[in-house]
Amino acid sequence: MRKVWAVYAKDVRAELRTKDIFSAMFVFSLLATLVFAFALPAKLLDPKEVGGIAPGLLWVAYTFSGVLGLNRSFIVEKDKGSLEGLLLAPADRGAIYLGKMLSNLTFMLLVETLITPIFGILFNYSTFNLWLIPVVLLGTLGFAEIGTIFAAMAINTRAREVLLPVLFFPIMLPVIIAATNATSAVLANRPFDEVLGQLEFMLVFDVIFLVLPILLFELAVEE
Amino acid sequence: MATIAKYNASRPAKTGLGFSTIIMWSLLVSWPVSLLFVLLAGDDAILKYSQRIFYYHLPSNIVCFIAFFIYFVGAIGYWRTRKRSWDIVMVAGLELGIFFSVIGVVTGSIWARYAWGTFWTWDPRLTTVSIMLVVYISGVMLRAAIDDPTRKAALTAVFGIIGFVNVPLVFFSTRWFPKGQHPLIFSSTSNGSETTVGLDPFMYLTLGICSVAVGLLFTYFLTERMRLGQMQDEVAARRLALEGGEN
Amino acid sequence: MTAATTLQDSRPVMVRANKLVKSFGNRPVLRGLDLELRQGDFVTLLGPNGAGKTTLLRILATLARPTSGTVELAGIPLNEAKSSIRGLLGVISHQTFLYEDLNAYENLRFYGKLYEVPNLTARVEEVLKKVGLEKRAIDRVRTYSRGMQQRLSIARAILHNPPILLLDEPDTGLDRQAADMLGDLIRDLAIDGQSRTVLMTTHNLERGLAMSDRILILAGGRLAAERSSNSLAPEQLQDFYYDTVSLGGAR
Repeated sequence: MRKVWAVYAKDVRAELRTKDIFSAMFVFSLLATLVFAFALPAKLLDPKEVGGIAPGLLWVAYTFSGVLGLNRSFIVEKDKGSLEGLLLAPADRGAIYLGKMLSNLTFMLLVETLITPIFGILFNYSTFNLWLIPVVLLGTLGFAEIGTIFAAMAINTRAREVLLPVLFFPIMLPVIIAATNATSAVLANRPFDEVLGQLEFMLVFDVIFLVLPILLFELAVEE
Repeated sequence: MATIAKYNASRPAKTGLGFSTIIMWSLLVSWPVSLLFVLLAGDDAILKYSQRIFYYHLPSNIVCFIAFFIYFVGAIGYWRTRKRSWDIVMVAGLELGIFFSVIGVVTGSIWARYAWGTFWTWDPRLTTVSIMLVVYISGVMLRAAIDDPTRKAALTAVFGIIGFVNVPLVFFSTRWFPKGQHPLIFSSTSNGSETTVGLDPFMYLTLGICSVAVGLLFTYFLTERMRLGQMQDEVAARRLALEGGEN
Repeated sequence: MTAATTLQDSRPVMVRANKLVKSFGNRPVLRGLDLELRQGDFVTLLGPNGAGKTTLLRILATLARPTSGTVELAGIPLNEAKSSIRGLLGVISHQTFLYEDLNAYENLRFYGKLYEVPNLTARVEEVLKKVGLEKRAIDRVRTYSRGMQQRLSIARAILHNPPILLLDEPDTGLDRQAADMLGDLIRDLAIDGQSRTVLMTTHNLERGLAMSDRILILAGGRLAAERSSNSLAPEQLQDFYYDTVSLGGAR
């Protein structure tokens, strides 16, 4: 357990020095939001209509910037061979996975926290709702869980970072569907029990894909 | 010359040929028979003629699911044993799963077009199979990006386990899609207002025969694909042995 | 071919490989390699590129699985071992395994936590002194020269006091002077109060001979030759090496 924390702290500390990953993710999600705002016809962005597509756009922005962050966090490890340095240590592979997963989660949540109000402002669509927090939390957790193990796998292939989105999106579709639905319901101020189903679903997803990668990480990084 | 003679003498007697011959003949018999039944079966009350594609559509979907399950089993096997033979099982399951899911999606789409006028419907089953198709195609791309066979098998296994466990979750999540108005043949979905359409006995028989035909096709492909994988390994190993011996 | 021994060797066997085979698909790299290192041995492994030196080291470091054959570290077979067996190993490669945005302290403290090193703060100071980096300890690794980075990498490798050291071409990318300094440092640390068992690969034949008790030559996926260092004069080494490699490589 302490080793999980050590890996996590190391990632965060290194990132605080350079802010490489965070800035890339933030700028990207900002650009994506701007592109959406400009590229979509004004009629769709009319305050009465925007609630239909805005949740989807928001999660698209989260997804793409998330993939970017995941890639960068593992490219750092690969270049100096430090992933192997981690693997050489007498630490459970699952602990290494967990540490990296938590640091990826942290970066993603940070970016999402910053970009969501900006998104709300640009689209004139109120994103200020406390119930959004569990939705974003559970959804992003799913992103981090699958993303971390897939990134570790993809980074060692010929296609490297290009492969991660290819692997990531199809598997994450259930979560993206549930999350967009829940976001839409929350921000339309629908009754809570409508959202409960999606939250439970995401929780199940998160629990399953917390346990599986911990068991499988050894297989994913071995030679 | 001596090495070739040695090679011929060392080959095992032909086995396995009997089994695939049986399947092949069964296929040649069962498919025309199934087609006959499909043509003879009565019209569906609501959907009329277009419903007939369903007789191949449903077995294809089921078989595709079985194939991906085989991939999953192979992945668990490889995870536990790291043996190359499980890799062959995984690949066979993966390829056949994609093949039959394409058939499932295409037949489903055709059916939707003729039954309800659109090529696509967000029906839970069709959506699930389509998402599965995309997931497993990305699995093929994963394999294609790795050169080292050991790593290829290992990552294929990880992907197979994660991908298959994801399937029920995919199915479950499709209920949040915009609902179509397309009644399913066997039972109603979570939205209880759709009618259950029953099949008469002859239609059940037709479905059964078509299932047998599709199932035989699947079995044939599966066994041949696995045999192909084994033979490829054998060729490579013998080539290596020959090279080593002649030096 | 084994070196002749006149004394019964009672030192424990720290590294043992038996009939080690490693193939990448159908391409064999190691074809049945046997290896034995006893406590206190300093062995240099020579061989042409692609002979399998790095592969062998990776297998011994538990980073790669052998296709067949067994490996034992301090008597414990690898396939039965838990992850804690990695605590026996210190590995240095031409990659540094260091985090460039952190400073030396932070790097060492991180690895120290992973290796569960007791009295971490004191130990970190100690190894920094040993490799001569205590004055630059608070600078980010990115500002270090290659030689300094390798020295820090060595500090990382000995932090947890491992009885076995594996070094894969540690002198890569270093000029002659830096490489010599590194070689001296490695030699000192190998002794350092407890006889460590060291297996090193290098392309520099003379330095390898000078630093070690024994040299092994890997060719054709097997150990093609083994000689104790005193039995070979530096001038003879080059010819001996090329002879062995051309014979062994043809298989």
